[in-house]
Order: sequence, then C-alpha cells, then structure tokens
Amino acid sequence: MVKRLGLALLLLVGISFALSAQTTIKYAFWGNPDAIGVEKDIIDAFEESHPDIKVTPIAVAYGDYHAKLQILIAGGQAPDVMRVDSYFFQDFLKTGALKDITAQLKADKVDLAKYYQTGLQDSVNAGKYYGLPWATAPLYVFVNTKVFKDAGVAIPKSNWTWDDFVKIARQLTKGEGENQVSGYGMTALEINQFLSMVWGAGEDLFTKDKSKFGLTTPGATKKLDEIAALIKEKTFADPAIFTNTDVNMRYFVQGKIGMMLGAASSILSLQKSEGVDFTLLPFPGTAKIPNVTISKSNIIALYSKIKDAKQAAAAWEFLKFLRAPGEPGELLYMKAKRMPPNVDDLALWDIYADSTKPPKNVAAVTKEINAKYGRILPLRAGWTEIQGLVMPQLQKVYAGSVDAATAMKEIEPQVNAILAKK
Amino acid sequence: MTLSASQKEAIAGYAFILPIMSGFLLFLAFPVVASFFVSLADWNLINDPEFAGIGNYIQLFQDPFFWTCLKNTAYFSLFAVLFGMFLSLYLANLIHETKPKGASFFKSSLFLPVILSSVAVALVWQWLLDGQMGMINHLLNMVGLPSVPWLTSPAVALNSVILVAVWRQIGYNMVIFLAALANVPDELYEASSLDGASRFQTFWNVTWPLISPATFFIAVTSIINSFQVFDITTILTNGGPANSTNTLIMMIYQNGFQFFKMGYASGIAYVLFGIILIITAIQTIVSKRWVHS
Repeated sequence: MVKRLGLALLLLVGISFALSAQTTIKYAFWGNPDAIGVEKDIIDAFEESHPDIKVTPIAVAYGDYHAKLQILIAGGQAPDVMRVDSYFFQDFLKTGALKDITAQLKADKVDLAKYYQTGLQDSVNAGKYYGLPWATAPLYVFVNTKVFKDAGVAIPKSNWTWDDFVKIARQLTKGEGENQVSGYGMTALEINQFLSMVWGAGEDLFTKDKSKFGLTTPGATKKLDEIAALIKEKTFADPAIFTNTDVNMRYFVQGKIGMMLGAASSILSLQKSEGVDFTLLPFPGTAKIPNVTISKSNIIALYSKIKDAKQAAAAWEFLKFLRAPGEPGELLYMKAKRMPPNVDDLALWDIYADSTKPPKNVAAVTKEINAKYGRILPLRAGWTEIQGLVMPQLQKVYAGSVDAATAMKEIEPQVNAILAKK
Repeated sequence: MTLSASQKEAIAGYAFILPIMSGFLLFLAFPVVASFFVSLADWNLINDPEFAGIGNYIQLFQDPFFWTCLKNTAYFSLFAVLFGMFLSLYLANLIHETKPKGASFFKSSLFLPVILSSVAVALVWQWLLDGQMGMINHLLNMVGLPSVPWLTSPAVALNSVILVAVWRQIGYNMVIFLAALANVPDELYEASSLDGASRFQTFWNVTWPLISPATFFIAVTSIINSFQVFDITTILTNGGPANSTNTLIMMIYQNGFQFFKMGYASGIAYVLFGIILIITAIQTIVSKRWVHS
C-alpha cells in the first residue's frame, strides 16, 4: 500500500515537473472552421515534434480578426505568434507590436533566397524583417479558354501588353442583356483591382516616397477615365454587379466574362467546378513597364514584447516550423490546400492544385510573375482607410457620374492628411 | 448592532438589484462614460491615448463622409419609419376591421420576418434583388418591364435597403397596432356610426386618437432603431455603391474596427447619441399635443 502510494506520488511529481517544463505560447490566426481545422492539425504536428512546447490557438473570423488582435495586445493578452494581413502590416508595425527577427533569421540560417522575392518584401521595413511570408499570392489574370475559343481569339503570351489586352477584351465582348459577354470583369471594392492598370501608365497610388496621393496626376486620371469608358462600352462588365469576388467567379464560370483577376485560392474553387477550362497570365503592362502584376503576401510575425526568454524561443521555433523553407509547415499547408507555396517548388504546386485539371501553367506563370512581372502594393499605415476613400469615388467614376480628375481631387486632402499622420 | 425592519428591507432590496446594477454599471454606464473620454483622444487601442480635445468633433463636422452618412441615415429613417408605420397600420386596421378567415395565419406570416435572423433576411434579399439573376427582375422582365439595378445603382440602392427594412419591421408594428385597435371601445364606433360618420371620419376622429399612444411608441422606437441600422446595409450593399448606403453606425464600425481610430469612432457615436436624444425629446414634447392620455 505504502509502495503504491509512493509510486503514485512520484508519478504526480513527475507529471507536474513535465508540465512546468512545458512552455505555452499563443498563436493567433484567422479562418473559417475548415481553416481552423488545418491550423489545429499543424499545431498537433508541431507539439508532437516539440513536446516541451504547447501552442494555444486563438482563431477569429477574418472580418473581426485585426480588431480582435488590437484588443488582445491592448489588453495585455497579446499572442506570441500572430498572422497579419499585409494591408495591416504597417499599422501593427507602427504600434511596435511586431518583433524584428532579422538577427534570428541570420543566426538560424533561414534561407530567404528560396522564397518568392516579391512575397518576402511585404514583411520588410527599412531593411529589417518583421515576419515570414504566410502566403504569397499573385493576382493572376484568369482566362476563360472557352470564351476565347468561341470568339476565335488566340490565348496571348505572358508578355502581352495593355493594348493587346484591350483589343482582346473588345473581341470577346458581344451580345445584349442576359446574353451579354464582356471581355473582362473586375470588382470595384479594392485598390488591387485597378492599380495594375495605373502602374502600366507609369503612375502609382502614392508619390514615390509614399507621402502624397498619386491618383490626381493627369496620367493616372486619364487611365481611370479610360477604364470608365471601357465599362461604358461594356468591354469591361459593370463592376457594380460584382458585389464580391464570388459573383465575379460566377460570371467567369458561366462564360459571361472572358477574363478576371483572381488569387491562387480561386484556382482551387474553379477546379471544383466541372468543365471550366482556364489558364493564367500575368497582368498586361507595357514593353517599358512589364511588372504590373500585384503580388501580395500576408505575414506571420512574433510579438515584440514577450518577456520570458524561453517563451520567446518557443515562439520563434513555432514560426520557423510554420513558414521557414524546408520546415514541415510548408508541406502540411500544401497538403491541406490552405495556401499556395511561398517558395519556388513545382512539387509543392502539384500538391496544392490538382495538376490533372486546368490550369496547367500555374507554377510556370507564378515563377514568371515573381521573376519579371510582379510588383508589391505600396502599402502604408492607414491603407484600409485610404481604400475606403478611394473606392467609393472610383465607383462614381465607373458609373460615369463624375470624371476621374474631379473625383480624385475631392479626396486628395483627406488622403494626404492620412499619409501625413501615419 | 440591530437593524430595523426598514433597513433590513432596504438591504434586501439592494441585494436584489445588485446583479442587474453590476451588469449595468460595468457593461453599460462605464463604457458610455469611458467612450466620451475616448472621443477626446486619438487612440488606436495599442498605444497610449493622446489627448485631442475636441479635435475629433471638429474633424467630424469637416468630414464630407460624415455628412454623406448622416444624409443617408436621415433619408433611411424618414422613409423606413413612415412607410413602415403606414403599411403596418393599414394592415392592422384591415385585419381588425374585416376579421378575415385565417387571420392568425396572416398575422403569423407578417410577423415571421421579425423573428428571422437579419443576416439571413439580407442574404435572401440580396439574391432576390440581384440585378442580373434576381427573381424580382426576372418577374419584371416577364411582364415586359426593364430590369432595375436594385443594389448596384447609387440612385436606387438606399431605396432597396428601405424596402427590405420595411418588410422586416412591418409585422412587429402591426402586432402593436392590433393590440391598440382591440382596446378601442366598440361603443365609440357605434356612436360614430349613428352620427353618420364615414369610414375615414371614424378612423380619423375615433381610432387614430385612441391608438395614438401605440403610434407614439412605435414612432419613437422605430426612429431610434432606424438611426442604428447596420446589419441589413452591411450585408446587402456594404455601404455601396459609391457610399450611397453607408450609415452613421457603419461609419462608427469602420473607423473603430477597420481603421483603428477609436477616438474618432467614439466622437461619431456621441454625435449620433445627441441626434437621437434631440429627436426623441422633440417627439416627446410634440406628443403632448396629439397623444391621447
């Protein structure tokens, strides 16, 4: 009896010792229930290989995620590892919540060269790294091959230009009312839907030093008016009907638009639709300015004020596991089809997208975009606020109720005030 | 120390109200007061608040977007409340007067939208009002009428939102009107009939004054609710196109939780509070002239 009691006591002491030796870190991310399941599987895999570290997940729906993250940090409950949408990266950076990991990357010899370089840039500020790319996502031009075939138009090559694009879009446009087919369809909800076109005209959202609004220049307003004219002649479908990207996709699947912008996740969605044949292209620029395809990468970062050294080390281990090249996270995310590869690896693309279905050129075109045609957004603190000013004005321009110069001039003081403040 | 019976009673009373008062003070009174102080600061939730005085309020009144949202909210409130009240009174009166077979069915059917989730309601209406594939446009086309850009035209979208809001609130108002109508004494109708009053005269001189307390209640609550419209506009149009359906509550949400400008968002909330307070005060004062007591 005494022996048994002694053994039980020893066991208890052992368990409590093991528990006290275990470091707990908190990991915040967004996602729907499926995505949360993927993250939990990855956490399980990490805990299995790192029995001394326990990861507590904090899962929030995307719409509320960044506000919740702010509240957690403000309330002293900051997660140790957190995902940040690149739109908010500068906002969080400004608060001092993100840790500079440049030295750790160097010390642990994380091979940054393996990443798609356009994606990597979104986690850099003043030459220092504040996270690793969570998902590098170029915005491809999705080409509906059936619409092209029906119109007798050949699929263009990656080096196509804006003029080729407009010419092709016009060739694809036909019909009236319910039978209307437009060459191109885009939403009017986000800056990334039109900025490539402005880039092609040699203009940008901001001035080079990002201190002033850039869409008031004659070059930029001319391009915006040109887009409005293409909408008016129905070469571009009326963006007002695309209340979200799902509607855009629906029109694409039904062959009512020949081309649209989309991210890698749209590839998976389209592969689920039977009989949709499509291919991918970079966004068309000009011979002088070919790099107008938006490449955006969300970030996974560490909290800057982790006090406990053991906890900080555990958080870094987890970050590496998730997103460093060659670490298990990359493969686990691919298998779960949660995100496209961050690194240039054809095998990973084959796992992410079904290689037996269209498009057949996803890896190749991604490589081209990252090498030649890609460009990152000029992200700034206050990006979503600026977007909230620009897009409603642009909707008026697209609707033909005001010209671009007037519309952009109206919001210039407010945008400049945000830029000056942030 | 012995307590008197009245003291014991008082302590028991305080003990009874303690749970609700704690909740009220902690989750309502404190945030209301705190948000006023927040409205006097620039605060992004993480860094320490910086005192801004009345800067947020000055900025607000100079912000064209605020005036757009205020105009949209006022337009929405005016027409949603007016149509909502008129239609619900008409339907309540119709059911009350004609007492049709299956009256319970009509009442339940009209009340159904009230108990449905507003998100589900908005999503269904979004499909119905879809410009290209929506059933409403399909029906219009079947009778030879052109499609209407219900949710995609800045000139039409807010009216579509009003349509959905009215459809949703009509049942609730109607139930209150029905209860009020049931309380109007039959003798008054008999007397009115003996005096040879027409249906309109009977309604105007008998029914309307006697249901005025219910009308006043519905008017006040509907206006307060309409100034706080958020869910339907967010799901149906997300404030677009071209800000034509953006409202003050959406502006608060955007500034607070998308742009992380808590001070500015609190400032808008206080201005909205002031607007609702003034309207309710005016309604209460004016009601003394027309509400039957």
